[in-house]
Amino acid sequence: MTEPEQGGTAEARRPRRRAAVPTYSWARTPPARLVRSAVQYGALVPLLRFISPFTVIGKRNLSSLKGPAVFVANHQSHFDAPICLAALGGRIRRRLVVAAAADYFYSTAVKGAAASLALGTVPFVRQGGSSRESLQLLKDLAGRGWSVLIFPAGTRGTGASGFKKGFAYIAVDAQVPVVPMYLHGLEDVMPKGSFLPLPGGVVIGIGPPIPPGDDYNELVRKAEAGVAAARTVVKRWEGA
Amino acid sequence: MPRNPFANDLFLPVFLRVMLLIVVGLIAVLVAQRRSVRVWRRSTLFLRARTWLLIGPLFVIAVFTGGFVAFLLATFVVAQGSSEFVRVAGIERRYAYLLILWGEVGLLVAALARDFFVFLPFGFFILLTLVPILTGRVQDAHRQVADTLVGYVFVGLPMAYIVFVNSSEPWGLNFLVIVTVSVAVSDIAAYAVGSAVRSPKLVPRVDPSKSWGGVLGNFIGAAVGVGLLWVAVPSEWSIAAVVALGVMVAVGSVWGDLTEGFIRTAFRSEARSTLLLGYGGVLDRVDSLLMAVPLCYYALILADKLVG
Repeated sequence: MTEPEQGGTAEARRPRRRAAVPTYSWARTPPARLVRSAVQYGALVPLLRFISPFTVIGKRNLSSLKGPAVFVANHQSHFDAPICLAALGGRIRRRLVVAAAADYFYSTAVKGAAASLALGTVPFVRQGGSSRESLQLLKDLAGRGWSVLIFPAGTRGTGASGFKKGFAYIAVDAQVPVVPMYLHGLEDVMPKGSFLPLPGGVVIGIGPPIPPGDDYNELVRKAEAGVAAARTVVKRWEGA
Repeated sequence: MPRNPFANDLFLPVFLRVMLLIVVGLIAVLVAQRRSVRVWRRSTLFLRARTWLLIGPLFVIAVFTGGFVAFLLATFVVAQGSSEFVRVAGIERRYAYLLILWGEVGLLVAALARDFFVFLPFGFFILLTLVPILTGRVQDAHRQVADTLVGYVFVGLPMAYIVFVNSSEPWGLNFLVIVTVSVAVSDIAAYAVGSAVRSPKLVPRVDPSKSWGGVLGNFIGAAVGVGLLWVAVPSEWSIAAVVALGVMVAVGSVWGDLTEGFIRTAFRSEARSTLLLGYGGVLDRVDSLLMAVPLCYYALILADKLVG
């Protein structure tokens, strides 16, 4: 069963037209999800544990989540998304999409299909008019019960501030909470510009969910503060 | 091929002794600290005991299972330990990948092609020199080559030794179990005695935390470790060989700590891994073992030759 191309919002009820940004909706069908689960449980997570054994702090913050959420994290490495998937666990991972840069991960059809199948990514256009379509797709998915993992800094190596508003649009419009995450150690494992990982430990701090509210700017500020707080917890833990 | 660990008569006695050691250690920490649970759960000693609770049984099962299970564990230690050294020493990534690769090759050679074992260090030197030759990047290359070689001799080569001894000697498994557990007990005893007894520092400029009391702890711990695993001592080992082994466990433990200390001091590095709670990285945990295994092996052979 494939998902409808459009969601339940008013904008989505407009007449159908060919989307400028492919949605890769086949990657969210049950067979594809089954394959993804097998790949993640059988290969991805064990491999990640071998290359970058990770410790998750604050995982109990996820227990209060009953529905979808927007997960936001600092971005340092191409390993960020797989590590987040592994850290969030099977319950959340089963119904989670990752916003991935369309210009990078979807530069070729094969690359895009592989990323969508293995990681559950959806193409996210970072600039230009198509970025609204990308946001709309993510809002629709959040409205249909899918969690979204997004790196709101937009590019790697920018730290835990300077977040763009895209994630706030998704959370406020779909009325889903935002969960801040801080990733530490991946800047050494696979920094920007390297193509092979160098093994090393990783720590992931997960903060408490932030209610979406109705103010985009306020949510951005709260999310930045949430990621900074998660960073403080991670640093304190590291010094233990 | 992996083996059924329970088929080995030694497995259960060793497993139970290791578990007993960890549980006694955990209780000792509880009694010694007498703090609120909140503070206690964050103490280094508790974190170390908790880490042991995980890696102790894992190690014993992997070693007795052998085959690719043990190989996987060795591969992990080589990859993570080498990476940590790379970060401490500031080695470029191209050299770092070769360090890890050759470390893994060394494990295979030690297990499957022992005739080529002695070629490993020189073979690595040849491989490393290819980097500046092929890339033309000679600036700082001598330092990179030298530092990477040190990393190999410190991490990859001793790990290959472990596999080599285990696969080439009929008592290889016994040797590995005795040395590993004794080194661990020696390290723990060094920490406990060093913390409890006020004594002068051993070499403060190299390792400000290592004291003469810690050294005494190393020797006591080594003796306790060997005694605890007396059940694993093969009948063909002479008493002199066992004594030499115990002494070398302590010497190797001290030497390993000091070597890691001097490497960190020399590179002025504060790079710290978060892999093992309470210890930091794999290197912190295995530095003593890496130094002790070759020392113990040759001490054992030498003692047997001199006595027998």
